[in-house]
Amino acid sequence: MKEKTWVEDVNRSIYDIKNEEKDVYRLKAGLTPEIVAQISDEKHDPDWMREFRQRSLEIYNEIPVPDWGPSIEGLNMDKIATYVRTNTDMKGSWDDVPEEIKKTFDLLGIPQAERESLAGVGAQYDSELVYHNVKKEVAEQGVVYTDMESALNGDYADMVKSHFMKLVPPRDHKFAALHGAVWSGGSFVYVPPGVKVDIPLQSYFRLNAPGAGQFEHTLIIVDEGADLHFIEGCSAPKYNVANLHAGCVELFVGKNARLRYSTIENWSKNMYNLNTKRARVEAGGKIEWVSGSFGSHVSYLYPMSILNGDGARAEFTGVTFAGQGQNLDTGAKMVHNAPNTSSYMNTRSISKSGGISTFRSSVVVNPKAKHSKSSVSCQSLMLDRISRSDTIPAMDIRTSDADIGHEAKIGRISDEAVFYLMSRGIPEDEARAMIVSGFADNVSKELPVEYAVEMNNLIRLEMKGSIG
Amino acid sequence: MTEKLLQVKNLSVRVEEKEILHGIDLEIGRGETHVLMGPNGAGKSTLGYALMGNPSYEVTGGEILFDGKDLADTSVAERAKAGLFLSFQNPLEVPGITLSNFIRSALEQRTGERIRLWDFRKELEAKMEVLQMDKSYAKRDLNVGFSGGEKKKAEILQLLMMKPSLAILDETDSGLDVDAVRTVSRGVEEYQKDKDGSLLIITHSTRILEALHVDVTHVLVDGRIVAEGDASLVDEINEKGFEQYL
Amino acid sequence: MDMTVNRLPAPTWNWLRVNEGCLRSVPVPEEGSIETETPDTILYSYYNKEEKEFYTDIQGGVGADLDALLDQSNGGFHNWEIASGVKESAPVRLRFCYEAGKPVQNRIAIHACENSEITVIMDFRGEDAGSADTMQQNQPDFAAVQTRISAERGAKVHLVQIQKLPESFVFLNDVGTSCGGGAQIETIQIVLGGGETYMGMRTDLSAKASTLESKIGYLLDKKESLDMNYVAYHTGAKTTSRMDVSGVLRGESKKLFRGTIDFRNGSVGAKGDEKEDVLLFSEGVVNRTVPLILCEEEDVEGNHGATIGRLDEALLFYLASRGIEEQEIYEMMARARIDAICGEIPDEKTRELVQGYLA
Repeated sequence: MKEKTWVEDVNRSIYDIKNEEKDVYRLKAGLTPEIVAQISDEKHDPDWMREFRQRSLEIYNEIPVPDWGPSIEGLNMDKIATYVRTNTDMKGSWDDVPEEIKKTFDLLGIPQAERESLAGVGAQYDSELVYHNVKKEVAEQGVVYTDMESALNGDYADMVKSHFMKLVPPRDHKFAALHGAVWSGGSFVYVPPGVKVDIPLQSYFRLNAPGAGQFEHTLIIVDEGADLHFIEGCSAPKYNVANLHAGCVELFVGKNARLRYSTIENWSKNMYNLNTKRARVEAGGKIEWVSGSFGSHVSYLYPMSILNGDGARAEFTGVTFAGQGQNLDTGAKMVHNAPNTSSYMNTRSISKSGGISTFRSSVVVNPKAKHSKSSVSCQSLMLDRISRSDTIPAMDIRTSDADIGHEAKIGRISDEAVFYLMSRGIPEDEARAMIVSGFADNVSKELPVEYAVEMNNLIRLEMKGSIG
Repeated sequence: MTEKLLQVKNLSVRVEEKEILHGIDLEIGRGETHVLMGPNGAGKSTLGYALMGNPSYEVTGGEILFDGKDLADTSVAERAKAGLFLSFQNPLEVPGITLSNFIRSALEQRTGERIRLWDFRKELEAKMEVLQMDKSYAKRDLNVGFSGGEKKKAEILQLLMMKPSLAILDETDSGLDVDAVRTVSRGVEEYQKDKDGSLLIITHSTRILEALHVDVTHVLVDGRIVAEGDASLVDEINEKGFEQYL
Repeated sequence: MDMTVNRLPAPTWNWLRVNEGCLRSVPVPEEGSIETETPDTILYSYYNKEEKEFYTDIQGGVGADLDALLDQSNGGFHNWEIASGVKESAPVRLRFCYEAGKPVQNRIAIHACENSEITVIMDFRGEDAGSADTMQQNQPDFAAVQTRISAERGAKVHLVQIQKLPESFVFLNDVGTSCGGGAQIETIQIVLGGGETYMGMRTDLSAKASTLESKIGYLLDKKESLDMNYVAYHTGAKTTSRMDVSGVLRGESKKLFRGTIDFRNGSVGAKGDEKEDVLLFSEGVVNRTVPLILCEEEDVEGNHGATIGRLDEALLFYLASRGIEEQEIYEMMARARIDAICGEIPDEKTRELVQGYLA
């Protein structure tokens, strides 16, 4: 296999780098109106945002925890610090980022990737961004790529206000409300009409502090006829206390615009990942989700695509790998609200060493969505008999003029395939890793090559020493 | 009647944003047998589908006249009722409808009259004998679990029962063994003499043509008719292949 | 009483409203009468509700609330038993004629001893509300039937149910089965009418190589609704299940199909297959499908496939090229769906009954 790239020797120890907390500002754990007000003070919120946070907190207290899906009993909100910040401002040059933090991102390969293959990078460390930069050529096209706080108080304040948590209102579910109350960090992107950004932008989220939450908000507006690829990466070192990630991603895809949103999520296995992602697509526009879920202790993650304009399209390509101690509930939601819309879902889940993976999805085709098409294909792979894999799709079709297909499969690695590879001199564990990588190639094929390699390395890491 | 049965004038056809046929002219008279030859991907099947009115094949220019009438706004079913028939290269499987019931309802739809079961059965069995089809196929669901050869025979059986004035045979001989090709040819011959039917035989081989009288041969390459001639053109292509036209 | 029925074995988002079915103010039904026809080889007996244990050990698909409702009723249950090694091709025929305004229930037990073979055909029909007795008009048109099948080692049970009820009826139809080694369960259910129908079926494939083959066909129209919950519960090695659901929605009809293949630890070498094919005829219909595959065993194979909506374009073109108009093609294909299932009924009389309903 050819892997001549900078992530060649990725291993878990990189993700597990723990930096000691020094010179940091940390809000008291727990959730009260006072703590939320302190976050507002800290971030110089405009008045509407102050009120928004307080209202969200009230909603949070009203809404019960979900009665479906994996247990989140191990998560005690009273013990989660919602805001942790290093005493540094956001920098526009890596040289100005504090040494220890810079070293972490170096090892994760972010600055190098920026030099080689990205149009812009945002790097968040705990609750705040420590680095943000966009290539000059891209900025000159009128592309705005900045942190949420700057956007909230800058030239695009009105645009932020009119879009912020409009797709994912705090009432949506308990953790959307939590996000509304304590969100911090994240990125704002605006691509003006007709502008095509040739190379991707990337935001990387690193949660270093033990017992803390990360609540970044990503707001992307791709205007009419524009084109963008956005990459999101996340990781954290493992602690033996629960960490929480309740981010929110809101994507607005304009007429005939295209947005690809790629994620390789590798949170540590003490993380509760209760993330909400949603896109609204106007006529002729297209959203493409590419999603790899490898980390976290518990995940609830179902990016939703709302197809609101004639001919809007959505694609979701995902892979989930649940290993020991992981319960990953992932999938996607598609809502067809307009004629000639189409959605396509293609997912793979892998369960190993007692891990639980659940594919959960919904396809809703409303009466207005005449002549719509949807196709779902989900495949699951069980690597042993102590793991678990569930497939829970739902379809709700309310027009006769639709073409809906669904396919689900579950099975194991075929002994013949392993035998075949072994007969060519490949050791068994390597053979199995190769087959699992091949199984997940729906996603790796869609990723830029460096990320595909990183993903395959993550798979190999999970597979290593698994033969017993 | 001097008018030709089928007149295709400067026909262009597009499939999924891509133009496949670029200005085809073709005329077929009553009782004539035409052969359309060409290498893979030339657009032969596209022409068949366009003539039959497949909605996925968009006519972007030119016109198709059948019996003097423009087919532009005519639905697939209306074309069939008017006397056009397409034998499919890959006939579809239809569970729940038997071959015999299917042919009967198609005939009843066309005439709007009930068909006497006894007469129908007698004719069906006679035609199945010509095609050396086992009688049990009449009671099996249309094409479900049929072998490739049986599917093709079932297509020709429909042709013989429906008696169209123009039959388009799309690669009816492909994938068949020598005996099956002979049987199918016999069925096609029966159609020719039975009703003075016209034929457009789409093929990229020549096996099915051995036993049939051919009036005109057309060669289609890259969506254009590049040569036309009589039956001897078939032999020529048989010998030299399509290279000279590429 | 209020009832929650057809609970999805693993719940999902509540906003989809597929996690369960709810019935309000359900009357306590009386035991209804059944016309029966039993071949000589098969033993019929009637038990009081406390008497027979295997009946209550078996779970159905509709759920515990139905058990609770029927326990309040006066009725016992009818039991048909076939002795070891006896294979009877003549069916047990049960005909249920429901009256408007008279809520009834029946409990049926089928006990197939080792290596026996039995066929049970149930025919559900009802009279229109128009002819209801004025005395009872404040009672809803309601009926419930609960069937428990115990198939011992090597036994084969065919269950056929044909439902044609008026639009005014609420109908609960619950089936539960337990299987011995190598037992084979084959069910065919055809729904051709009924206002609000809840069907549930749970098959415990706990013994080695037991198999389930379940076929469901329905034609719904007007405001009819059909709510289904089917569970193939695999705990035994090399067990297989197959569920084929095929139907047509017209008018403003609603259908919800929950189909679960549950591979539990121990179901080594098990296979489960679910297939659904729904043809939607008109704009007001609601079609919901929730096909689950739950799995905690490695060496299994599970598949689910669904096609929903209009007819495939290639098929439409093929049929239209033979001169058949689109409307007629849809009519033909609607009928074809039921015909295909009807053809599998192992009884000429019943096939004719269905054909009569379709004509």
